[in-house]
Amino acid sequence: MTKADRNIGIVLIMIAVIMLYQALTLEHPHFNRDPGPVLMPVIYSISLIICSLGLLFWPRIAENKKESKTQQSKEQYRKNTTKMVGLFLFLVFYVWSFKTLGFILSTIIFLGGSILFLAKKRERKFIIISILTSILCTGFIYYIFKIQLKIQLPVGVFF
Amino acid sequence: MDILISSFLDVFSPISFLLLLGGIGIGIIFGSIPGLTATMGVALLLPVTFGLGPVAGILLLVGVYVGGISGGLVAATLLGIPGTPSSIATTFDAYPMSKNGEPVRAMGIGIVASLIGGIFSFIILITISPFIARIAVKMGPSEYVALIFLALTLIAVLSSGNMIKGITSGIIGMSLALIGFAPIDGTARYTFGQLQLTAGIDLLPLIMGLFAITQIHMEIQKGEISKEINLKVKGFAVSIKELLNNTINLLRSSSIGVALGMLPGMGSGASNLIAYAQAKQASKNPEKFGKGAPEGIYASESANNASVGGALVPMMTLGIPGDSVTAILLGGFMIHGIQPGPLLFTNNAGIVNVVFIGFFLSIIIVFILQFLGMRLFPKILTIPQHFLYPILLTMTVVGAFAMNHRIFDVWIMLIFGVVGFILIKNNYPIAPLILGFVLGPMFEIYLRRAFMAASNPIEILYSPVAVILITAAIVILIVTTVREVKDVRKKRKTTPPNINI
Repeated sequence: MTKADRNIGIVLIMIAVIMLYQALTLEHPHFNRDPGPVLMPVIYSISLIICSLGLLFWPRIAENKKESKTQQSKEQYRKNTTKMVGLFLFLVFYVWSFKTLGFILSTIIFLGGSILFLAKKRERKFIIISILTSILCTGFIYYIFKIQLKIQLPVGVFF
Repeated sequence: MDILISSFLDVFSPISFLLLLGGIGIGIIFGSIPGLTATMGVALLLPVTFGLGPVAGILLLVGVYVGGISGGLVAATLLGIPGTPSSIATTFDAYPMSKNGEPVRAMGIGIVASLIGGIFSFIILITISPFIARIAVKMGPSEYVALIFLALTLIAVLSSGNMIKGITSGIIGMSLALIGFAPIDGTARYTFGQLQLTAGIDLLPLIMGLFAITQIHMEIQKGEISKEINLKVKGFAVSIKELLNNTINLLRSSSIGVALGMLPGMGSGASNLIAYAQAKQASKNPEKFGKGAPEGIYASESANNASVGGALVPMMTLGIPGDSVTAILLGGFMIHGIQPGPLLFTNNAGIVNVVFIGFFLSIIIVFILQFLGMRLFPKILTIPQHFLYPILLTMTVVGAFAMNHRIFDVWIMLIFGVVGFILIKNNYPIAPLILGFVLGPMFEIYLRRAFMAASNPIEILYSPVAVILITAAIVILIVTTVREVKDVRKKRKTTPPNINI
């Protein structure tokens, strides 16, 4: 197991202990011959503790350096990771903004912003295409879901 | 004979046939878009059928159902995102094959396997369905516990290569399914006082997070690596020799699909994973699974399409829906004044024929539509990442929200996006997690029912069927563990050990 596996093992042991504690202190009705709602939580939490111990104490191996053989340099990999984290944070902001901006505005901002954020070149023509794409896509999704399929979309203060 | 001819004429009347076509088209779209499922498609179109006659209405719903299950193939193959839970296992090998520059071949295999699985289940549906349904209904909690236990042992099969990580993943899945009201007594577990958690975690946000969010972010981290896509392939991109080599795999997977489709709660979501695990277990090259092995695609796609026919068996013959989508279909039948059950075949033979003909036509039309689009769909891969991924992310957010109209589900999806990323980066297989999540709740329900019905726990083993199934599960566990130990020893012999601390 790698160092990361051991860290995962520690986190899982903590979760399993909380699970076990909650199961053992759970108040529940008792039916004749029914093992009750605590049986499976106890079994799973003990199994999870055993597996986590396996992750912790299985012989440690050196970190696999295979990733470095990919076609990109470390610098490029770091840049891509930054992009990935940035996009995820943008996605979190997008979901959070539904409450205030509503579906239409937040989707236009998310789509336009993330297209520009992920693109390598941002010329004037590309910026216009990105904005148009985000407006058209949002309109299309809204039309199909809200108007045609009558599926509710997130509603905010504005739309 | 007159009834059969009259049913044919009903189905092929212009309006009915057009509605069937439209239903299939809508179903394929619902299946292809991450977050939209066949269940949602059938539920949304159910009110549309109110104004139609029984034949036209039922054909529309059957078309959406078959199209929805089959449509998942497109997104699973080209984007690595299961459009529906029925195509989760398809992503394991179809997407790697697609990434290796063979998207058309991956699609071709999926389309042919879907056709074979569909026709297999159709044959079962029209021939021995009442007989099988009667057996299925006789299964008690003990038999169900044993069957689900057998299915759960497949977690070990899916984990081969790193059993500790796989089993950990499976237990995480089963533990996640504990959140919410417990079955039977309704005790709230692990809700931490949150009202939203009382309903538990929905399967859709979970798979959207683990697959779509994780996959998209991992692709962005890898960067845009342009790979030549082979779009010039002949016919179905599948050779007769390859098909013949997969005959047993196809028959086994289709049988699993039909059998699980008939059992309440299992359906296409579990059948594709179980058929995949079985194909891996039986394969001479299990190490190739997950890297673009055709056997994996044959297994998953034939099983999920076969489960559609399987799910129709208890619904038609006994009036018992096997899953949520057949429950909605059953509602649709009843709205049109048709009562599925043992008397349906004698009292309303015409409608039975309409369903059978509609189901068969749907399989064939889906096949033709997907074949026509086989060379067109992979063009999605030529769309630049910076346009494709934001649009896909938006669709997953909309899909996760649309399921229950709750932002909470979208947050759950994002959390599992992060969890999936950590797990995949550290080589934890995701398939056992999903299998554990799907089967865990059913295992608990039937185990508790079996205990309640028995005067002592050993009584569960009084059923010969349960004993056979549990024995099979133990054999699978032993074989898989022995194989795993052998592999570890072989690896240790052939490669010098890494730094052991």
